[in-house]
Amino acid sequence: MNEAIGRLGGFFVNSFITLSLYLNFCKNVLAKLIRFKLFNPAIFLVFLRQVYFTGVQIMPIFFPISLIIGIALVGLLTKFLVGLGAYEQIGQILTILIIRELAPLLTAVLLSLRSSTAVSAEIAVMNIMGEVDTLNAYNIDPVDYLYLPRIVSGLICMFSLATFFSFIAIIGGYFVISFQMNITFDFLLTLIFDYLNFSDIICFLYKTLLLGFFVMSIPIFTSMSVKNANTEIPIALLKGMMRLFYGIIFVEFTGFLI
Amino acid sequence: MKIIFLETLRELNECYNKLNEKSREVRLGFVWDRLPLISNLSVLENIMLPSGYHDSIKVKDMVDKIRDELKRYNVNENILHARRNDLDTFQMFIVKFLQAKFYNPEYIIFINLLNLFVGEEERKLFDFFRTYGSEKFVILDYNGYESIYRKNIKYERVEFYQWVTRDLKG
Repeated sequence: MNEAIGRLGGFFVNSFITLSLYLNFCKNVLAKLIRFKLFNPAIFLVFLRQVYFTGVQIMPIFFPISLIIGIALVGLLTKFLVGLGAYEQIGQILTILIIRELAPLLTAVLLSLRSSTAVSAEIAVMNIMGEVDTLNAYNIDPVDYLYLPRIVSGLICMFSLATFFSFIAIIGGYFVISFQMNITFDFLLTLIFDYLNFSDIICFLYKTLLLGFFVMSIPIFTSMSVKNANTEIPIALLKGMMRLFYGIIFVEFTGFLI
Repeated sequence: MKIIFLETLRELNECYNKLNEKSREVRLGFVWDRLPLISNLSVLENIMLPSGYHDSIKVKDMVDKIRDELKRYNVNENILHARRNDLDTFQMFIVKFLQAKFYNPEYIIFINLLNLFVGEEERKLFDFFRTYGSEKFVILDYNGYESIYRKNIKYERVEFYQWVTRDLKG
């Protein structure tokens, strides 16, 4: 019993220490974000590459997934609501479901699977190979050169892809609705925009921006601890992805308050 | 060209730490296998990295200059878009040297070179030092290699801390 309590205590103490270190890392990153020299030639190259890897290369997967989910979800939901005779609620439900919930969540999951793992492994390998020492030898700040371009690209890609997801899902859903009900696309958009209010937009911005920050900053923070051995890489990846999962849950939970 | 001879790995690490500290005040370039090229950047991007980060550069002008420099040191300019893994020991050395050179440092520090260079590669290395050796070059290496250096190049032997206090004032 004592051992179990000791372990539980140890878990909470370690979690608290990790959280405080992460918050300190965020404080440093955000402080440097104000003076961020995005158009410095060396930094801009890293930024452009990361936008390409995160936001452009994902498109062949992202587009069909958005469309399929749009068709499946909106189609099924419409059928269900028509069955209940409550089709006038379509706009409200689509707004809540797609814009507030699904678009940020699914985009974050896809970016985590694709980009967070890659960034985590990349930073861990750079630490082990001594590439971060090369940057230090030339007075190149790793926060400026390595972390911030990735975090800023995460913010931009998350917001853009979530917006893109919303449009594709609504368009996909419209194709299904148009077969079942005789409504125009213009009418569907009117239904959605009638129900879209300020808190929905704030919630969308809150979720996309915070998730965009987490998707890059949590894996980077975790991989910074990798120093010497190759065996540390899978551990850092695993820890990073689990922490990111907790981060996503945190955003989803706090999103309900908006 | 100056050479600082050292006894042990510990001494070498201490010297590097001191130089790293000094590099916050004085611009220093480093050529050392423990400071590798960045693996996800091409040769061209690696060479431009320190100068691009610290100074305002025109990329097109830099590309032309880097091509000319590679030709000058008899390195195939086709490596410009290659990655670290595609380079041989001498090409890697030249790329690191150019990375340091374009940073416009007060000194370029070559550390523990003979550890890597053998046979034909060693001959190329000493040809490079004989042809392009400069007052800006400082080599840090182990005592055990002194006879090889003495046989191949002319240099001034200096003590590390004496050189640091005299020449690296910041």
